[in-house]
Amino acid sequence: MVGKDNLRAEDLNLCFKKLMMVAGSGNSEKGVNLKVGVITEWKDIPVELLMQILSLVDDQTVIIASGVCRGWRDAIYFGLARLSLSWCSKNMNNLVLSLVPKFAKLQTLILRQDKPQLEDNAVETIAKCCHELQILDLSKSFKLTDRSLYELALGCRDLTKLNISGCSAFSDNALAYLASFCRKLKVLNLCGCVRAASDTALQAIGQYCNQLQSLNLGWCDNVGDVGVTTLAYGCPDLRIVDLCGCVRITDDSVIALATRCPHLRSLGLYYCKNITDRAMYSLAHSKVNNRMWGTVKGGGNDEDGLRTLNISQCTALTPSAVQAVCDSFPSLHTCSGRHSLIMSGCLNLTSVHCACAVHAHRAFTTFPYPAH
Amino acid sequence: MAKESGSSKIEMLEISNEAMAEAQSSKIEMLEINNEAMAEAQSSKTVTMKPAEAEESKTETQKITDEESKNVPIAATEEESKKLSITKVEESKNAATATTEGEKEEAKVSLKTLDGVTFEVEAWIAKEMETVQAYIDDTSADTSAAIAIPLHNVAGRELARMVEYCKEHRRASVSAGNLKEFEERFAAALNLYEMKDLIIAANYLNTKKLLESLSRCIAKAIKNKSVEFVRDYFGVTNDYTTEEEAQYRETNAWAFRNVDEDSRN
Repeated sequence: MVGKDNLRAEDLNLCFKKLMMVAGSGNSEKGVNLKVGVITEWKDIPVELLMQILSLVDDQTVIIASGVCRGWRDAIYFGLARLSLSWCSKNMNNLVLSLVPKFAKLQTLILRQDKPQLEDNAVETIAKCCHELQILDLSKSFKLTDRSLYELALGCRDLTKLNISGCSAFSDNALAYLASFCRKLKVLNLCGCVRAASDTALQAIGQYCNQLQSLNLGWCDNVGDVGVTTLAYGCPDLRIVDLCGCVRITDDSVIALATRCPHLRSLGLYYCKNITDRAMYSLAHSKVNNRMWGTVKGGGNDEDGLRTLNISQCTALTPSAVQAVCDSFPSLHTCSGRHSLIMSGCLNLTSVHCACAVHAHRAFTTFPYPAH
Repeated sequence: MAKESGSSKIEMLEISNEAMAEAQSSKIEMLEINNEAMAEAQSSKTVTMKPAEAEESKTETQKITDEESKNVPIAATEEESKKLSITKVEESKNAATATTEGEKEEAKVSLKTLDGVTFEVEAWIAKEMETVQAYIDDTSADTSAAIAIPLHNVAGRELARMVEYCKEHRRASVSAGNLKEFEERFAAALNLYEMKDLIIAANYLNTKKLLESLSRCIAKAIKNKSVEFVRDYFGVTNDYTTEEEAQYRETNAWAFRNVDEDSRN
């Protein structure tokens, strides 16, 4: 042990002396530079440090920083992973054409716009240059056509999150084509894509995108039971499904989701007027079935279960069926302040209550006993 | 074999600076005795700075002062001296507190900086510096207690500021308001070059909280500012050609619209 200690101490001393010698020679060569090998100028700060600072500023300042010197430009172009141009009220298309080719490492690109500016050539540029893109937001890009989807399918196969809500010009064949290539999709927002979201497209998504967890089909009134059923069978990891305004679906869609997607926690059925009690009872029973199977497998997951349910305007439902759903899923609440069961317009469901109301009722009934 | 334990005596010298009118020079001796129940014999090792090394440190300090005086206007030098004096006083208080705490807690870590100063810090402060913690994890337990860890890229002034930050941060983290106030006060006391040296040291030692705090301050300073301002702020030389810069500005004309007018030259 003594020898070991001495050796270690000697090693450290030698290293330190060598460093001092280097510093000394540095002093003799350059009178000004005191620390050879130590960073003395801001421009020589490590790239990861520069990128950490720039990750805290807005994108405009990032562009200005790339004009400081060549070294910074190269560092920024290589290191930037996230870019948002949603603030740009004009010239977004030209901006994408000039900027995106320089950011080869982009992983997140936000191009949501309130006024349609984006055109197919911009998306084509994105697809040709950003092969590592994972998150893309093209909301409200009314001008985009199927060409954009075909380009994205070929160039950005690692997409995990795609938002094309409001892109009403897309067709279902193009969306199906994209689904067959972008198989890692987890989050897909098709709200308002009436032409794109058809049973054909949903069947492709169910066939290829088996990791899907979140799907928004709001107001896609061409969606039918065939599409949703195929989706439910192909994507068992679904957690969030929004079918608001999908007026053509019936109980079969809900039954398929209830039986095939054990992790479902949020379901939107706003204005789905064909939904009847059969769908509600299947939701209620799915919890019982999952619990049994969970026990067999050795680990029932208490985290599972519906937390949000929107059945507004589903006027065919009866109180007993909806109450069964509430009893199965304690996370569904009707009490004020915690509305996770939304049933606006269902005038006959006033007697439905969550577990909180039951507890309150029992507490009230126990009060008279001490009076005796 | 029987273990041998030694007692070591370490001197920490703070060299007074002529440029600081109210600077105080203090000499702190910290005596640390290792108690071993099974110790049969004790051998003492004395570690003192050699006169040559001391002179070398003085020379370095003098040159550092010269370098600083070139960069800082003369009017600001006096204010800076006052700030540094306050910092020195605070450091003395912290050192005294550390001595008191050291008697209670036995876990201490020795850190030796680039300019030869050795710091005794509590183990929880060393844990904040992930590079130091990784070194301790890689070293066997019996030797790490006795040997000072060399920090080749960190100067004593930066390390003192980092230790101060860790202590004050822990004290202030009781409430969010105090924490924010402390971070703003800490950053306001630094000039540009001190900020640079400190963030590079924090990056090297991987002190995450300090690194994030300083990054936020710098990001705030350059937001909505012009290219010229950012160049001056960081001291970066423009190596673009005139044509390159003109083309850059034309391509990204949109980025220059909302720039603060005051930041233009």
